[in-house]
Amino acid sequence: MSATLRTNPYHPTRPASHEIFVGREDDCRSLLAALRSQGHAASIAGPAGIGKTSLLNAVQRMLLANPDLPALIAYLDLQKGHASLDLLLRHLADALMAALQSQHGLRCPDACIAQTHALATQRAQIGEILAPILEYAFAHTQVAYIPVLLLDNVHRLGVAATEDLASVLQTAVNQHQITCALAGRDELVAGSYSETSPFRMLISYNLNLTPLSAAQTRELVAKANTCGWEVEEGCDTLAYQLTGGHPYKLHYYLANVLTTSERLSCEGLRRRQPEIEPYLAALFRAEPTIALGSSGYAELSELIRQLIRENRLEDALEHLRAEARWRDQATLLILRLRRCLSDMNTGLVRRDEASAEQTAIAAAILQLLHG
Amino acid sequence: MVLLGGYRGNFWEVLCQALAPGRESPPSQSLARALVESGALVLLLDGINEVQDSDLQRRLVTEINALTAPAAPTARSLWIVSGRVQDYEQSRLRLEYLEARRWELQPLTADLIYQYLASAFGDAQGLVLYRELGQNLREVCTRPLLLSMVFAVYQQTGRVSTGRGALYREFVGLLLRWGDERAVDSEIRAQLAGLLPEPLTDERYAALAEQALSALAAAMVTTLSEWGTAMKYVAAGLTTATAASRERVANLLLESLVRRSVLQRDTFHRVRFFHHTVQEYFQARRLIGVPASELIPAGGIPAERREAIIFLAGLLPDPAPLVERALEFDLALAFEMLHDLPRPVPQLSRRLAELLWERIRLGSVTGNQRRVARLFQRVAAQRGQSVEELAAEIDGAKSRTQQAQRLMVFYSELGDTQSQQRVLRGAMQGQDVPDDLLFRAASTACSTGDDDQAIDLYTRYLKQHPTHAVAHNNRGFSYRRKRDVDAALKDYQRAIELDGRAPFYTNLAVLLDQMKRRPEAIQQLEIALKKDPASASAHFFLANYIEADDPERALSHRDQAVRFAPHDEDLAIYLCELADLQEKLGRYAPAIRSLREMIALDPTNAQVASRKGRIATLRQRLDEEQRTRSTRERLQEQGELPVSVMAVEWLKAAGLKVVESTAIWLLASNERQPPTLLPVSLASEPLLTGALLRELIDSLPTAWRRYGEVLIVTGTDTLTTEAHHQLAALQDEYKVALVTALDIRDALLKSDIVCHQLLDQARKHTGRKADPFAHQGVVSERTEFFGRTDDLRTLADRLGQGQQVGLFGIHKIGKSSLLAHLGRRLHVGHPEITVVQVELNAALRSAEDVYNLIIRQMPSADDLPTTNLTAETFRQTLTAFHRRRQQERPGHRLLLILDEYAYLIPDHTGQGRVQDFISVLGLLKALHQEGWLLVLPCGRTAALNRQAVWGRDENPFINLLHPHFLGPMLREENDALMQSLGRRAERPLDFTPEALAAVYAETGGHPAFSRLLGSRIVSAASGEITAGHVTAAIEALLSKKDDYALLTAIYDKLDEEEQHLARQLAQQGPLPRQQLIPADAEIERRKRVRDAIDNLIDITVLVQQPDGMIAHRYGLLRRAVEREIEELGLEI
Repeated sequence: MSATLRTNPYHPTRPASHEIFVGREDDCRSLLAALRSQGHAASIAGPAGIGKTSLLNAVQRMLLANPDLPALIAYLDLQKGHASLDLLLRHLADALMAALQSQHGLRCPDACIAQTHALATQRAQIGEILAPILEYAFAHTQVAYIPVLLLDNVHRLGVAATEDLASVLQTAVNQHQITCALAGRDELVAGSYSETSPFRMLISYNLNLTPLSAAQTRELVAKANTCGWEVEEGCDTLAYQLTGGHPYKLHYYLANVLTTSERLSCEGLRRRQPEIEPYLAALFRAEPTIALGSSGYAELSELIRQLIRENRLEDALEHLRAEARWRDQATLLILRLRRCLSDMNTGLVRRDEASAEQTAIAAAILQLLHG
Repeated sequence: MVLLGGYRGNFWEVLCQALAPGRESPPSQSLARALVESGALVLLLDGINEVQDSDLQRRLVTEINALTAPAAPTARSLWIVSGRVQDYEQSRLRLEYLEARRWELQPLTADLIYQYLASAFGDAQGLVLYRELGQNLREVCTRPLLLSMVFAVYQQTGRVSTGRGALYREFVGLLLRWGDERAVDSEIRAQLAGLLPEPLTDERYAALAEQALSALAAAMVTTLSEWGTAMKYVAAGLTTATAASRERVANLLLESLVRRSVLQRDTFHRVRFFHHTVQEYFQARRLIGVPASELIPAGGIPAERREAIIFLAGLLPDPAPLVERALEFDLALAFEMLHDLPRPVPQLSRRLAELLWERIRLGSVTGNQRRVARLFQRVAAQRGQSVEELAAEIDGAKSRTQQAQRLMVFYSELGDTQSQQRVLRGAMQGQDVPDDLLFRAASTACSTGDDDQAIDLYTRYLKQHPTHAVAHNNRGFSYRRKRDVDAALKDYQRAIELDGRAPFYTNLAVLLDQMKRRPEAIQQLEIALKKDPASASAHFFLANYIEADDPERALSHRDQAVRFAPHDEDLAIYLCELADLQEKLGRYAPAIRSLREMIALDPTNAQVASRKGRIATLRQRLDEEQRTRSTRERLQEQGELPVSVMAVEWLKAAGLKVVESTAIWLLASNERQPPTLLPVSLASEPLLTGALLRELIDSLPTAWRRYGEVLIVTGTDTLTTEAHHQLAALQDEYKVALVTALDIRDALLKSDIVCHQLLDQARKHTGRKADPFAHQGVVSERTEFFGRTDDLRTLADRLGQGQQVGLFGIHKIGKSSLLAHLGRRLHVGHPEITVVQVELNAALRSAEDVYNLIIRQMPSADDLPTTNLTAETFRQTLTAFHRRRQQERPGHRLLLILDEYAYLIPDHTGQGRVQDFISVLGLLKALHQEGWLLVLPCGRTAALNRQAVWGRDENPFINLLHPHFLGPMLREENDALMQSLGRRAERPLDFTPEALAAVYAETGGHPAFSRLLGSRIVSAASGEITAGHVTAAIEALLSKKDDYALLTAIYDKLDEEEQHLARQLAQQGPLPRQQLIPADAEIERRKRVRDAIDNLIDITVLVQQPDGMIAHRYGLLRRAVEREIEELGLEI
């Protein structure tokens, strides 16, 4: 029997690619409508794993595919090292410059980059910071691009930084200088009250993302078939029953079954359930970012140990980073981990050395967790 | 000479008439052509601007271009065409072949005025007459027309009227008769006659003109008024026409007065008097009856009122109380008044002389009272006395020596050494100087350069008065001249010890410099300037010493020296140095101004010709520089340019090219794929009405109609409601976009991309829309902005008067949009104000962040420092910017708009974001107190104006602002918004009156609420909209949380007590005030509730009904609060 080369299309921790993305047609349409002209801000809210990043990616693809819309689309994951507002502004500008290069083949000159960075350092207004980039693009293309900022994981920023961000975005949106979509776990328009907290006034379109419907689950399950996997009838219904249409859980189940068996069957799903269910339950219970009580701490500790066992160090660190008391150390450890992985990939360190470093990082995580 | 005012479409007709003036049968056109082709004629075509009709104008220019084309035989004759520069610039018509040799006539300079008078009356009489004119009349005479009128008045009366009031009456009378032979406004007069019940005789016309001018001058707050506003002012002052026709009569009168040059109209359709003093003359009438103490307050009168008060004295039957008040506070003003009175009042001029004489005696630093001394001389001359006669009259009771002493002081102030010696000789007994004349005798010796004698006399004097600082100083001066530096140093140091006055430090500095100790000299001058920042000589010497190393700083001191020069002689020296340095630094325009000032200061000086030569050279350099400058740079410098020039430049910046043009249309093309062509019309009319829009569209060249899209550029910022409706209706025929010249100006000053965005934005708002009510963010487009006429006027007037204003109001009521339009309104009405607007946000942490933000938004921010700004550097930067602008725009002020000011101060929990916000507020207040900075904070509450302290810090802004609470729109404004936007819908809406009433009842005129409701209506209905549709839309709106999120957001933004009140009133309906304040609560809580009620009323969330009950102002908001209570089960 010859082996067939088939790819596993499911991956719970990666945003859905164009091939695997299903459903959300209405949501995409509404978001696109909200983002088509300058001066709008939309929010996408929903719990972890519901598909916010995948939706942002899908919207980005659609915007790029629309030649009538002179958009310059920059995606920014806010969980990655935005320790201060000026750094965040700088990353925003960098993302836009990268977009200009990748989408339109224009590389901003050094003077423009320096000017932009200097303005970000001064915490200038977004409109001012982006102006040199847009003016450069206009001078070369005679197109006045609309900057569309897709900001993911807003909930990672913490209350003060989120308010800062919303406030600086507010000015730019009001002046029709940018359009943006913010994705996060909490409903941004229902944020805490403050005299100058502008989220409620910023968002003109709010989307609460819900799980996939049964039909959309069927569509997702059918993707295995298109990749050459045999799919047993009734699998989609069972997958929907097991996960309630939650995309992360769906992907987790489906990926897991395809890793361990040759086909997607109801039996396979049922067999994996006892192992998967407690993990998913623990994973999603640990989601809230509020201060942990003793029971919450025990759950988190268990979850992190589990993640370390699975060698998912970055996921473990992300969970730690969500807690204010561990944020800084966890951020440093993430950076250390990424450097180690990058060095290993580029051949700067040997695999065994990298492995030792990862073990050290895991030890540091546990030390951090237990004080 | 061909008067082009008579052109009717055929140039040869007017030429033939001009060739044989007054003859019934003019020469034939073929003869005229033969003459022109022969090259024998010099054709002077006068007044191209007098051809008013745009078609005729175009035809005339086409004819002239054809006749002056180099290959045309008619070009053999010499052609000279004259016209007003501004009119020529404004029309897009170009005299293609004559343009290359264009000459612009500048206003007359003082020396030319003198030459004119000297050539008319001879040198001696011309000089007398020139001096008679006085400074203010000389200013008026810089216009040849007016100079010739002064001349005409002089010819009629045989003298220059001492009263300027009388002169202006004559002036205006002449202007009203001027141009009759050219029939400059015969059509207007005919239309005017048709609107009036009585025949329009010349007398009647003059009376009407006077009424119009008086009403206009009285109502204008500044020297400029928008055309529409001016029309209203004039209409309100007319007593003759019927109410219905008053505005039309006013419009025609304004037009007529513009053509007769009594008024002027600029690019932005602003009206001004031909000279500000004429406006003041007419304004003076409204001051009759105002008490003298109010007219001349103890703190001094504002400069802009000075002229009016002088005129008023001449208009009053008994000017004595007013003049006496002036005698108390402002002697120069009293002199001007007395000079202006139709009849002399000897007792008042005697009193003035006494006060002047007294002041001269008090002066101890020679030369500081020279202007007073001059004034005394003029009073004496007015009274027909010599100075010494008048002085003897005043000092009659004093001894001869005392009289001589005072006369010597007087002459030393004037620098008249001969007279000083003469008086001294007269007072001396033989060769001996009497003791009580020692000081004056020493001063005289010093003035005449006899330093030995001066030192001897001062030494004798100092033996008797060893602590007399001035004597030490003066002796030091003589020692220095004799190069006895040690003795001089000792004397100067002693003078400083005794009395540390600025001039002593200055003298010491000069000595130190002479001793090659320049750094110390600079130090001493800096001390002198700290003691007296207005010390002209200290500025002068400091500039001398630092010029080589730091010419820019030296320039600033030279400016100051000129500003504070105590008398004309010093002024001449300072100006000379200033002009040299300006020239050296390439500041040609200011250098020309300085040279002109020098000429004006002494127009009969022999150096006038060489100075004019220098001006000509500088002018050439300036022109060279100008030619290489872009339109943008010119715009930056001059503030504005003709609409046509800006429009073409703007289209170019936005990526379009003008490929074709007609008299009123341009065809612009983009070069991208696919290429598009856009017809653009320039509407120069002062008011954009519906009829005008229709006319413009009808005039679109047939060949261009196929492009389906039209852009209208309008010079006005005023769109009538009917124009809004017409614009909506026109969208069925073409996509009609509209931008204003002010939008274009702002975009040009920013960047190409902003120009493109403006064009793009304007085009996006054309055609029909599924939901025309939807609009996010600031409403900056003129076509999307409705109402707010009164708010804009009030704010602009207050700011124009220099008042600090705060703009407060509920969220989304339109504050930021109003500010955007206020900026434009100020540019039109108060060009002397530079507007800098910043929006604060949470990114601001420190005072430096705030200063940086402000500086980055300043015009020409590229030249300003934006890093490491301390309070001091911020102050210096702002001050330097203001001074530069002040030179270009007298009376310059900087308006700093702080939008979202709440980010600057602590919030209601006491948490502050900007750490040293108190120092920012303190600095802004200090700059405001200098008189040139206005701060306009904008936010939800008036806390900045009301809160006395934050923690331990006192609020520097407490009660500093005039609060302007932005309320909802008026009913008619709201109706206009609903109707106009409804008509722009793909499925147009037509609101019935009941439906409009129902909308207003629910939204209360809150623009965002009305748009929200409009969006809901347009999504569900079309055609005729009834009250039933509105009710259904309200229900639908409130059924979906996301749709009414804006309303709950506004509720959420209220503070705790305010939310409580909103809930209470939503559930229980209107309540009396007392019932809202819980009687059993602690006093602090009751205070909080009381303040919350007041704030909610101020920001119009609540309203106090006529029956005294407090209720919700906005029905929709009340309903949203009700929903929140239902859904969340909130307690009251």
